[in-house]
Amino acid sequence: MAKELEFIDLSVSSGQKLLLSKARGTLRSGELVAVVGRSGSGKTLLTKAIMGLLPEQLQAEGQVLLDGQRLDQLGDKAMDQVRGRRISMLFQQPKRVMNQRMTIRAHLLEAMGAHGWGKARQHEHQVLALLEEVGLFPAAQIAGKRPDQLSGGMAQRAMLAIALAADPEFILADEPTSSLDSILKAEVLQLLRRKQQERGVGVLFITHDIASIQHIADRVVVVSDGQIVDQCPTAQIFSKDRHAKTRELVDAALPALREPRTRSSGCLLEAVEASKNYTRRARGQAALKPTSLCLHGGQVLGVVGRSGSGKSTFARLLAGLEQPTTGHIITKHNGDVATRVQVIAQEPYSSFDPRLAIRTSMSAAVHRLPVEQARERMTQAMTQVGLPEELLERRPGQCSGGQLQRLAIARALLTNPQVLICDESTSALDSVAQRHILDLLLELRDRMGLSLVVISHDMDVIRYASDDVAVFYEGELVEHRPLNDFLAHAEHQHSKDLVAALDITAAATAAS
Amino acid sequence: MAKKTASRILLSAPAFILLAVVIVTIAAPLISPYDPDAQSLADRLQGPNLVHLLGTDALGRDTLSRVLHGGQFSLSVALITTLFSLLVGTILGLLSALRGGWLDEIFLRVNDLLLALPEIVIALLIIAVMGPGFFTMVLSVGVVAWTPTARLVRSMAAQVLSTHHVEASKHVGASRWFILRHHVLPFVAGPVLAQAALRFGLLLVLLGSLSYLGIGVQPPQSDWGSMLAEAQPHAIRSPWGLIAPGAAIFLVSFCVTLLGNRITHVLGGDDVLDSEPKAEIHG
Amino acid sequence: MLRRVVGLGAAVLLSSFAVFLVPFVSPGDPVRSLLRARMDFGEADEATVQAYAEQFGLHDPMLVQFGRWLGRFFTGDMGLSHISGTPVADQVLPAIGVTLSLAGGALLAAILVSILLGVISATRAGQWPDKLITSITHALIAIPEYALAPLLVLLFAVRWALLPSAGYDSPASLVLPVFILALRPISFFTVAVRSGVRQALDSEHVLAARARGLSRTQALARHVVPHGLLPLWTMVGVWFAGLLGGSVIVEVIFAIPGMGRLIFDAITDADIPVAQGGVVVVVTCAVLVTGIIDLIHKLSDPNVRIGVRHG
Repeated sequence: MAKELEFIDLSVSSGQKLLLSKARGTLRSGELVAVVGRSGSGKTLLTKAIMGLLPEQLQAEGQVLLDGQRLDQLGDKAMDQVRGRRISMLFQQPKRVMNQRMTIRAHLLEAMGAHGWGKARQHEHQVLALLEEVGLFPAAQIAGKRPDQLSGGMAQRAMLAIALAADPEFILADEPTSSLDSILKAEVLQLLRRKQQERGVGVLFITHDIASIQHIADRVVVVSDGQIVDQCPTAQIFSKDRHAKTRELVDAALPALREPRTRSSGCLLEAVEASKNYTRRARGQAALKPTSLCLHGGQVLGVVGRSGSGKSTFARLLAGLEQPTTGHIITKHNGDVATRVQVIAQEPYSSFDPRLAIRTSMSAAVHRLPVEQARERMTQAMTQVGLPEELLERRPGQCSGGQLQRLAIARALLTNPQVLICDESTSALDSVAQRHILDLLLELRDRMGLSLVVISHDMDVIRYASDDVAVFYEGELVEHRPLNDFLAHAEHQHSKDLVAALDITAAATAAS
Repeated sequence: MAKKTASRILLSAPAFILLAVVIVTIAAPLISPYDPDAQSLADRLQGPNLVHLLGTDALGRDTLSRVLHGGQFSLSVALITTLFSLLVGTILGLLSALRGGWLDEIFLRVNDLLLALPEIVIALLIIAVMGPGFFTMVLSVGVVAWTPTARLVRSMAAQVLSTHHVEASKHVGASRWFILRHHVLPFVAGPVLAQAALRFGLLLVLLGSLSYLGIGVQPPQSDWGSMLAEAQPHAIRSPWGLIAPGAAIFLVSFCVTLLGNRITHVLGGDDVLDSEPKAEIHG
Repeated sequence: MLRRVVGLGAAVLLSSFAVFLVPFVSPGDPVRSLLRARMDFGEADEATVQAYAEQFGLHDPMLVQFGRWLGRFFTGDMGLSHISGTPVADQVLPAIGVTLSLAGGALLAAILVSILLGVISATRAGQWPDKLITSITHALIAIPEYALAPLLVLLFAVRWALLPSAGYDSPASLVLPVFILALRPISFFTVAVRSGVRQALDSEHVLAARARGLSRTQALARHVVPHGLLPLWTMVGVWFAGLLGGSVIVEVIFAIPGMGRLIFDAITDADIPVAQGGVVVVVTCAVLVTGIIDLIHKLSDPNVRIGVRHG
């Protein structure tokens, strides 16, 4: 007996501004529907509006029907019965969303509605069964842990267990895999699909990355600027007849094929047995074992590893932001000019002072030059990254993430660097912005002969951009090969896992 | 931008009231209806009437004139103390944050300890040693009063200096002065001013309490605190001796706090009282 | 952890040293001052002064004298009062008890009231209860207690004869002092609770909790308030220490025989031993209290790391 979750003319507004406009759709039990759109397209609001959990500043209109029953007309108390029991949610950052002071068991009990005194014992076998179902072993031990004692992947699985706890009919998943590394992403997607099919649950999967859902979704709905602009069965998303926005999302997916360049010029930057230990865990940085590596002119080195693998630490050493505990980082000279290294960080909004106009922030690079020259250099840098000059007068809050990353690149270019280290520079961007930035970086490499160090946990990015691949695992460099060699003949187990993950979240091959 | 912010702060009710109070106090010798020290035992302890707008005290002196004149002392000692602690606190806080390292650590410890000490007890001790007077008041309170300001400045400066965007600026070649001028000072200035406003209000009350206890202002001068002490024995007959100076202290302190709160709101913060130093639990 | 203890110990030592120096820096002959502290009659003649100086090593280096003084101090010998001739310790110890209970009572009242007001203010942010409470909290800190107290006494003790006007005998006599003492902490605590609860409300914890089916009230009680109260606990220690000294005015006005009044009287009477004894005891208590509360924080949650933030 199929159930239906339907929303008709659902709109969300903030004062006068319309954030989501007249959305219509149906979700049936047993099907997984992907809702895809860029950041800010309004797709997240859909889940909150259905659950009646919009923040106070926003107002919703329209109908939400669960098996014909009007949810939008239910009072708070009645809706509390629906939430968690018949419709539950998955979130992007499980650790942020769970209560750090409560055990996993307590979360599960809450979700089952069994959070009173003495009820814990009755439901213990249920708690353990749920944890085992999502692949968390040993269940009894995990149940007693707190969220920050779990790894990212385990936390996400725990969150799935919590969502399944009361045996809901529908699950609304809000970007559940967007912040996971490739291996975890593949695992969680598979798990979700499996559970969904086993239990016959209807899943609404919100994401910005169309490539990640192409193997698990039955249908795809495309949202842009608050409106649903397209929907079709998954297999048809590659067709040329689709809406422009759909095509934009599909095109943003990183293709597997690209001709890697062979190394051109000599070694620019060399790490010789460089290691790093932190006495106090400053910024939660991972330690690095002695590592040796040489970066060449015009080369794109892809650095991949999970969080805590030491890749970021290595990047900071290369950039000179920190000094190695042992070993050296040697900066080679071209004549009497030392190799200059610049860094593009992960969070676009943290790279610029929110109080200052972009122009002021960028002037940090050229403030010692005479005013006219400084202006010229900035204009030139803006042209190089393809941004209009008037953007300089704005403040960071008025720019999008993609624009800010370009501005960060422009600022780096002001110093005439030879090496750009991109530390997860696209991880915080949606798939379309990510593609633009990667293409820009590769273009700069082609035009200006820059060397790039592209650090990412996302194998698709590594495969698209790199000439050579370096794998970091638990503080150590475990593999370093040219790209094609890596894809075909990786030796270390972790490398093999990374390559395997590529097949599961295989990028869309555009049907030309 | 800065002009707009400034006008939003200054064109407000609390600011106008304060301005009025300041003008009136400065002009006290010109506008007060009577000589504040002129006694007239026949007119003692009157309530407000048409001849004496705020009544008279136990010696027949006009309360309104005394409030106006007393305000000169109260407001000036509070202002000097606030400026003193603002200056010392800001400089020490900035130095500590910029230097970093063990100097910073020591400074923080010293700060923590000073915060735990009761202000008034320290003031009492110092006054005992140095004898009462205007400058003793400033010094005895100022010696501890700079601590919250220094703490705030140091914390905020340290916070800014550890952000990614400052690191980025440094990495592209910004000089120390550039960072101080563009990143640190704009961040720090607003909250420090807001807190200074709050401190002024608290110090006004504290300094008034010293005068009330008799170890602040010395006769023949008087201020709002000493007026309250004088009025207390006769309160049953005429509570106006208490109400007038009390209300004066309250009015100024309240307006200044509201002004500080306004500064905080305009800069996007929540509440000026929230900026007082306290330990934080990192969970 | 050890650093903390050392730091606190240093605080006590430094302040005691400062207090110890008082007779040496204040006007008058230090030897005579000290002599008066040791004998129970008035001024001594020159010979006795010299003999005393010899006997008690008053020409020894300062630090040595300090060590001796401190040693005597902590074994209970704080000298004799200039005025009454009785041992200082006999006056100081009961007084500290009085002040501790006064400060403790005020703090407790302030905590309870501020939790209530803070939660109301945070959950109705922007609406009239919030605006009212916010205005009141800002007004409370501006009130001079030495004006308010007599007025309240006038009202409650004289006109309505509900409460005693002074003294430290009955529970009723504590009502007004505790009330007045609690006003300023209430302001600061309420703001802290409000901001803590607001932050917790906005956090995604609440969203997820409600998505699990918890009602508004349940989510509030189980997830929001416990997190939101954290800033409050960190303030309590510092404020308790502050109240220990800040009770001076209240004790003077209400004739309560506490530490604040003791120190104040001693200073105005130039009774230096009592003043010294009083200040050292108050500072030691303040520092101890802050230290103990820090310790409680650390023990109750090992994840916790105390740093001071600007707010």
